[in-house]
Amino acid sequence: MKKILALALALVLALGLTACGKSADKTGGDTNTDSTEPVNVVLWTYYGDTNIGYLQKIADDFNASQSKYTVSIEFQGTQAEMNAKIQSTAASELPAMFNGAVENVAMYANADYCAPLQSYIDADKDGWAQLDGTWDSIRAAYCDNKGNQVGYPCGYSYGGIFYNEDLLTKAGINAADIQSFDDLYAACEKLVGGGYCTYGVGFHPDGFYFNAALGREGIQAYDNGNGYTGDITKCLYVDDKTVNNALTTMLTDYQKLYANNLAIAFGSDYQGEIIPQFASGDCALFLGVVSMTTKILKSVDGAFKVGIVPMVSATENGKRTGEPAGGTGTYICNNGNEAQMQGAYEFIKWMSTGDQAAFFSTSTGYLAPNKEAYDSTSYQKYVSDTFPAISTVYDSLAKSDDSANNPYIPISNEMKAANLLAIQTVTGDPTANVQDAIKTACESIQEAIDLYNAANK
Amino acid sequence: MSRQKELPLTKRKRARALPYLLIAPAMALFVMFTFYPFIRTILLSFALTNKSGNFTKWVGVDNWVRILTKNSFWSVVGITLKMAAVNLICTMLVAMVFALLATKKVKFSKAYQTMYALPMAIASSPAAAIFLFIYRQKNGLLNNILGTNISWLTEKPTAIWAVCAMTIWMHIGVSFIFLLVGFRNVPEDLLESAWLDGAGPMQRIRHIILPMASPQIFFVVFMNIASSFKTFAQIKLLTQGGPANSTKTLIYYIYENAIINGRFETACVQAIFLFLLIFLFTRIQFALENKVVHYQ
Amino acid sequence: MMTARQKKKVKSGTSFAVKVILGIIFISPLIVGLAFSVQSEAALVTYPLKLITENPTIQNYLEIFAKVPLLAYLKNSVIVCFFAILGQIVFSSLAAYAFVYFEFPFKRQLFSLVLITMMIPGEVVVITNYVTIQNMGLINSYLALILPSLVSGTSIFLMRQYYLTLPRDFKEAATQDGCGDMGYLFRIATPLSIPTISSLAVYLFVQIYNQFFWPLLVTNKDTMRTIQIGISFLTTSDIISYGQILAGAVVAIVPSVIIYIFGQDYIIKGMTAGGVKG
Repeated sequence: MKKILALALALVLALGLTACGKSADKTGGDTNTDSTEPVNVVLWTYYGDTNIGYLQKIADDFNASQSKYTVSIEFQGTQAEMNAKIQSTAASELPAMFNGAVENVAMYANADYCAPLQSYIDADKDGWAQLDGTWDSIRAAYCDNKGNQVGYPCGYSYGGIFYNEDLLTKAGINAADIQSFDDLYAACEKLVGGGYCTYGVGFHPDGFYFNAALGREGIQAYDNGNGYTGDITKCLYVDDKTVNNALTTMLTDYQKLYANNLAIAFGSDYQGEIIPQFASGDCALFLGVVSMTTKILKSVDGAFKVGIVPMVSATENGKRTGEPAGGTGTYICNNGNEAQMQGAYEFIKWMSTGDQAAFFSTSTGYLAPNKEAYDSTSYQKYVSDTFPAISTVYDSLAKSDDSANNPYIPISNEMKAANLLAIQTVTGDPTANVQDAIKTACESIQEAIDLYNAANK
Repeated sequence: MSRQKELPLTKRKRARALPYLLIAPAMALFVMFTFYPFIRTILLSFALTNKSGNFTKWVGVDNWVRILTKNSFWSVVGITLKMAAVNLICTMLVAMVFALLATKKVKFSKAYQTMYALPMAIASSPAAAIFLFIYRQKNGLLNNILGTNISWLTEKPTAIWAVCAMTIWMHIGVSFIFLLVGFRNVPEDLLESAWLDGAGPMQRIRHIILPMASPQIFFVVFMNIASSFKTFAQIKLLTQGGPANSTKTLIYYIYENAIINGRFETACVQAIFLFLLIFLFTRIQFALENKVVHYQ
Repeated sequence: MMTARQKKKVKSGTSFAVKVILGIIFISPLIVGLAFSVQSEAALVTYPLKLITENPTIQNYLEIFAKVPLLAYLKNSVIVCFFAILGQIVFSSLAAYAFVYFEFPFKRQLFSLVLITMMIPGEVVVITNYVTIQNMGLINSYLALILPSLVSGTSIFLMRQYYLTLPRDFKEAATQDGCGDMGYLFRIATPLSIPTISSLAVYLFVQIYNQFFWPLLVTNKDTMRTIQIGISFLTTSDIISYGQILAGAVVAIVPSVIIYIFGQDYIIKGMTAGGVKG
């Protein structure tokens, strides 16, 4: 009896599995070879539910606007998880496009799974007006070191310091004067010392700001023009005096901010900890990116006026006209299906058109990536009504040049992690040696560069 | 006559093949999803890989030398050992106490028995959401209760304990259940005769319950060694190895290299090292098995 | 004067109360999650926090369900868990039985291999396995979700530990009664091991239900995703309300807690039915 039961169980198991496999196959295969059916174009993203909602609306509009393609969006975990998945997925299973951080452009440009936009732009007879109207600094950030367009911004972000205007006025600080890490330290000392708030500043804990501070100042921390005149072979944190001085100043300021309790614990979650404290007036400044604007304005809810100044530079030297771009772009994924990839190109173009790009920017807080989006009625309304302070960012953008971008480096993740570790080392320990922290970061970045170059050449 | 002779022979052949047949399904799956990838891991630890984790060229023992000569690697190993020890010891102790408390079945004993094991039913991501709420600095529950203002997860002295606390909380349930089954299987009459002989509760635990349940205890220790070393989700969800690498264990380091950085050969070396570490501790435990464990 | 019986009653009453209080402290994080998931965002940022709110709200839950097809995800999680657990119980019983009751060449080596599988860190093999599943053409199928979970060293080892505790004379007696190997396994050993099997099943449920990265890798479509992916989707950086995060956590916790309580019941029944006597 038991024997029969066990056999039956095993049978059910086997049957169940094959049945599941089959039924899944039916739903799983969506190859649209039929020419009358629209081509299904899939976008892989790491955006969470809110931003996917906005993207979905743009995709719905696109799908309704023409009959050749239907775009659908699939969530694939965090950015790291999604990248790992793309890297090991066979071409036939890949989507037609994916989202990726702008700092990873060099990595994508060197990868088989990414089809640079440039060849599609060259073949496009209709032209792409919005591309020409894109801010130079963001356009350059999405190009490889030969000037070919790799991707296009989906959300154009940018480092900056959000401030509580009431508190700054009370403390007698002019926000526009906060331009370097020394300025930031002085402002925090004044704010906390004067008893205006518990903390001067909260930091979004990300290695991105480390490079942004250098880029702002026009400092190239890597050889071959930060990777734009040739492949990077060397990290200059220790050997180059200018770079080293800038890093020393910046990290010393970080260390002083924490030694004197002027900042919210480094590493605190920006949504759970920092924005609420900023909104409640416990903290006057928040170093983050403009894409957090909507969250901040929602939390503050009109309790005080929120302003923003561009990312501070590491020191007071240099040209200070660089605008290292942040944010997320869309890239065509090389899945071997030309029709799908062409559809991806059309969708990327569609997203860049004035109304669509303005919709995404005004909903999320990202910057308008091009002139058409900026000039659109809805974006102008955003600038005049929702967040007037954003104009300071555009003023700064107008003055920007290509003096510095993010380094064009294929090991951006390792670089950001090493930079973040250097910041954590000095913020966590007032006695930590700044030079040692710089040296450790330099060594691990150099090792990653050497390994990458050895493995890929 | 010949038929009679043949039958036992085929039967014997069948009997000889039977154990292999019984093991075959499990082994086939292991080969496909564990041994094949692990052998690949071993091979790749002597090579360089591209971002997709594919072989590009042999480098001999270079990777091993590069990684094993780095101080940062050994500090990660130190943190791994420290966290594994804390997790293992605390999980075992608390689970043992809970299991002893719940061994005797009384009316409504199911109430506390359920509670002691309940966290095992909770996945790490929802649990982490709750612990983040407890640990957060501003309006965090723990700071509310203690009247402190500590950023539990971002300060070096507290982060490692905060992660361990959540890990232990999550691991206790499973150990508790297995220990409880073991303790309850200790024959009632043995306990009774011991009681009649005048043995107190502590003596009964030491001389009867623990030896009789030793196979279960042995299993729970074995399981906890592996799981303590492989604790991953809590670190990823609570601290991402920070602050300043103070909660970065080998398993998180492996994840960082393989998944985030695409440095597979480095991850491979570290994975083999972690494997050897777990192997070593398990060997020690097995060496003790024959001395301590009591099979009926 | 208290009688001895009354004294005993008081004593057992106190010990019961202590045990329950210990339990409540132990599960307090869950109570915390539940209590604060029904509070508005404003209540979550007041000082001091209040465990019980005067105006509970289910708004957080409504928003969670509007955003993620949690029930469909839950269905997938349950299907995957069911088949994977069934497979593990069958395969591990068979293998463990061979390891305990047979002597055969390479037995020690084969068993060492089983133990070794428990020591291999999953984070490095996962990418290779993903490529294997792709090559088998199984992306977006239940089979892809289930296959690697069909066997584990833990379950074989646990079943072996259990069979080792079964007295040898059971087997001898059964053989004398004309019971073959398979007959002994299915008619005697398996029924006796029900408590072990059920505790194993509950343990496996939690392990498999907990999986996140593997289901994320092998599925692309909403229709094939499991509950943990749904929760991570909610907590991926652009949610603003902690109440919603807690509500999502509670939604993910409730099914497994229910299954756990049910499974636990089964363990207890199994323990009384199949009580092993020395």
